[in-house]
Amino acid sequence: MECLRSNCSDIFDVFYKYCDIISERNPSNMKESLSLLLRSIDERRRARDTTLGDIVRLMPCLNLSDDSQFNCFYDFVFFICRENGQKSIAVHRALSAWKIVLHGRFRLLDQWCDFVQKHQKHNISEDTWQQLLAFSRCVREDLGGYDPKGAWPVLIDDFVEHMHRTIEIAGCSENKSMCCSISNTFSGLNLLPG
Amino acid sequence: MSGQSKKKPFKIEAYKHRVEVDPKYADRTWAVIEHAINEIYNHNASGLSFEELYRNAYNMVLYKFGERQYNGLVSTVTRHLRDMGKAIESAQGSFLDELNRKWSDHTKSMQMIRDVLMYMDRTYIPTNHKTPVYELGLNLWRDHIIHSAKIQTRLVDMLLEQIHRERMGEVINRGLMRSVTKMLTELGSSVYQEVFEKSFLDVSASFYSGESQQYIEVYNCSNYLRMAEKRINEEVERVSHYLDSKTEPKITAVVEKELVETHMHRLVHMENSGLIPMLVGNMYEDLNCMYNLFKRVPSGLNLIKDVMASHLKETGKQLVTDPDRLKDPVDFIQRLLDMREKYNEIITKSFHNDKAFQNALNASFEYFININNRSPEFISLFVDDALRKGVKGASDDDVDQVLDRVLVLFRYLQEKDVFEKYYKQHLAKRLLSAKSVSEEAERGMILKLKTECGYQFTSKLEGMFNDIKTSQDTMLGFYNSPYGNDMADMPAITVQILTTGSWPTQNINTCILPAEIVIVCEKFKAYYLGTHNGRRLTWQTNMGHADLKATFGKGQKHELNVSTYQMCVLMLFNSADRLTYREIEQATDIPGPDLKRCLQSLACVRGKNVLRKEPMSRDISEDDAFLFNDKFTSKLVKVKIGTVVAQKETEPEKMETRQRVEEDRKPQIEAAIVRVMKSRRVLDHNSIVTEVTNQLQARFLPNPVVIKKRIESLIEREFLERDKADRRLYRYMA
Repeated sequence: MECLRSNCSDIFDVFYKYCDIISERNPSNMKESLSLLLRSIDERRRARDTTLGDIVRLMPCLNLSDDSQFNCFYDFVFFICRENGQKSIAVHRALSAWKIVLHGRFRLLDQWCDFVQKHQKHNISEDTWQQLLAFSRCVREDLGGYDPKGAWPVLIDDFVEHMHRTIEIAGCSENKSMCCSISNTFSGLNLLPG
Repeated sequence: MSGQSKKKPFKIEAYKHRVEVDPKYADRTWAVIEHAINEIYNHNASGLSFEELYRNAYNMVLYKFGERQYNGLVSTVTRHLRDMGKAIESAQGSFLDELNRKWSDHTKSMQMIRDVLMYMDRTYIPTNHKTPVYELGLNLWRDHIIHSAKIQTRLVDMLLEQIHRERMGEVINRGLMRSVTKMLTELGSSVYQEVFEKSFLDVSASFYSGESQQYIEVYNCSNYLRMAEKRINEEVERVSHYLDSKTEPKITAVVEKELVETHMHRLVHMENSGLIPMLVGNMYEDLNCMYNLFKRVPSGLNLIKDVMASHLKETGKQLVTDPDRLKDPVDFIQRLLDMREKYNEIITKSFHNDKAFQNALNASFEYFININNRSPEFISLFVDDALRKGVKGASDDDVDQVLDRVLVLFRYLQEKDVFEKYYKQHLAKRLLSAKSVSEEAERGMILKLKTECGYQFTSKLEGMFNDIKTSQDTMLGFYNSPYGNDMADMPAITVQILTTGSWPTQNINTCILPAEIVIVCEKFKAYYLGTHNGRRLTWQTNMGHADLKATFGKGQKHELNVSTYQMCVLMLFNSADRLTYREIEQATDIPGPDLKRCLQSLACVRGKNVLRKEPMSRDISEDDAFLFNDKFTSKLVKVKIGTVVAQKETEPEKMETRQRVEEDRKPQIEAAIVRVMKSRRVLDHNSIVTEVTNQLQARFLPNPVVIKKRIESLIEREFLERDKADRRLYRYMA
């Protein structure tokens, strides 16, 4: 119990430090402070990786219905998911994190995770991570609101194309369609660790 | 009278007297003039005195009887015209003749009358705003003759009938027609237009509409076009002969519309004789005819151009996607060249070298050449062929011409960097095997590419030439040095030193060279490294060739021209008569596929089989054994043993080249993005894509998705960032 609380306050601590650094708006300093912060996390994490658990614990304590607060939190999640000073995060990590933080916020979350799981081999870059939030906010379930010329990362473009294709196939086989795409998304879920 | 008034200007009687005389005088004088007018109309003018009449007319005006005289003139002339009208209506012979005769009578009479009434013309008429005498005569003629219902319709019908007859090939009296139309124009252009021209145009329209309907059913395109051209010329000629010149644009417009515009789609697409058969059959004259005719109507040329372009695209696409054609790259390119030549010829000869057509031709070629992604390779192979074959009697000028033509195709390529890759490979082969037609031609080609694509494009190619040049000097130096001095009884060697990076990268497959050669190589290596410090030499044994002297069974001596690999194999037979495949493989360490090819050309080619294979068969298997063939004979002293070379790239090689090209493009795209962003600082995504494409399209057409990936990579490496407020904007990070 003690341990849990310390952990919890720990992640709080990191989050507020992060927010402080971000809000300072001094790029050169910011980068340095961030990498310092990350290194300290890395060190602590070496014993046991609890990042995802930390995020889950952190969430209820924040006012995430506020958009700007959520933005900051979302960026923070990417930040603490980084490992060993890398700029990008591994696909499986990104997927788990997305499932936690975008739950209930992104209608196509399941389809997205399924797609990334199957087709993305490289790590997820910060740009892709950030743009997905913007994408989740403007896209509708029927893929309306997506502008092919909207400078989305290639992964998102590919995702939309993939969705269009599945819809088309679904359209061909009419009734079976919905079941098919839904079962697909769920099978994707099962593969995930945790 | 004037004397009186002068003497007593104030005397009232004189005035009274004149007033008294007035009515009588006017009647009397007018009677004289009226009589004269009648006489003039009756062709009896010779008995009249002009002076007397003139004086009378003068006095009439002077005594304020101008109005009387004018009205009298109108009524008298009108009367005569009524008579004339009746005469014309009841003309027994030719109506037009009669009309014309009466017209000339009338104008002549009016001229005389005008002379007589000149004073009135000058004074009374301008002050009272009346119509001058002669013009009055014309107006009266117009109103009483031309506008008379009986005459007008008949006149127009007659004229149109004459014209119709002429159109049907009859000879008509053009002089008469000319006089009559001239009459109408003299009555005012509105008279000509309303009375004649309007119905003329209507009738012509319906005539040609009918004729074209009829002809289009029976004539083929070429004949129809000629007919239409003839008809237009006829109409132009008709106008020049007997119609008002202002009618020309109108009537040609009518004919053009009826004969050409209405039917142009049908004409162009006519089966067996439309535009496409003409293009296919190089019918320059017919095409020229079509061009000239269609030029006259709106969007006519566009129609020809579009049909030509789509035909070009279609045939071009067929050509470049025909798997049979892909077997022979030289023939493939030659066909493209011929096709371009053909259409170029057509445009020059038949389409007046029209820029729009040239552009359509270029656009079509660009379209279909790039459908086949092997085009760059094939163009390079074609150049390779031209620069190799030149030896067979073609002069430098000829070669130059071929190269110029092929360069036109090169311009159409979107993937010029792929061409560069292949060109480099082919050039390397030519230079190393010294099979190039002439250095001049090679340099000429490089110069052309340089002017086309800039210095960057050719710098490496030029580096290759320089290597060859320096190698020659190096070899001279080597043989003059102590290292190369005592080589009299050793094999002569020529080394070409190639700079890494300038030449196409080769997988280095070193083989074990014969001991004799190794000694020489070592000597050279010692010399070279002695003169050039810090360099590294690697032997590219897969690219060399050698001349061997061989003595066969009956003592006949031959010189064998072979590749380095083949030399290695043959030298083994100096100490053995029979070697198995595995023994050879072990002794030479030549990679399997290469060894098989080289053994095949040594043992399986008739006339060049210096080795004998056990068992005899066409293909080399790993269990075969090889023997020295001492029964070998050949008429030639020098025997050239070629290697079975795969000239065209095989599928995996192709993939590899493609991949290499894609890899090479990445830094180029990134550099372009950075260049653009450095100058613009902030730019939206689509503008970057456009600008980068513009910058690079001289070399290749970058794929937008690839550009996007490069942008993402640059964001990750913190060259760029997204704008915080608008995520579509990128910001350059200095």
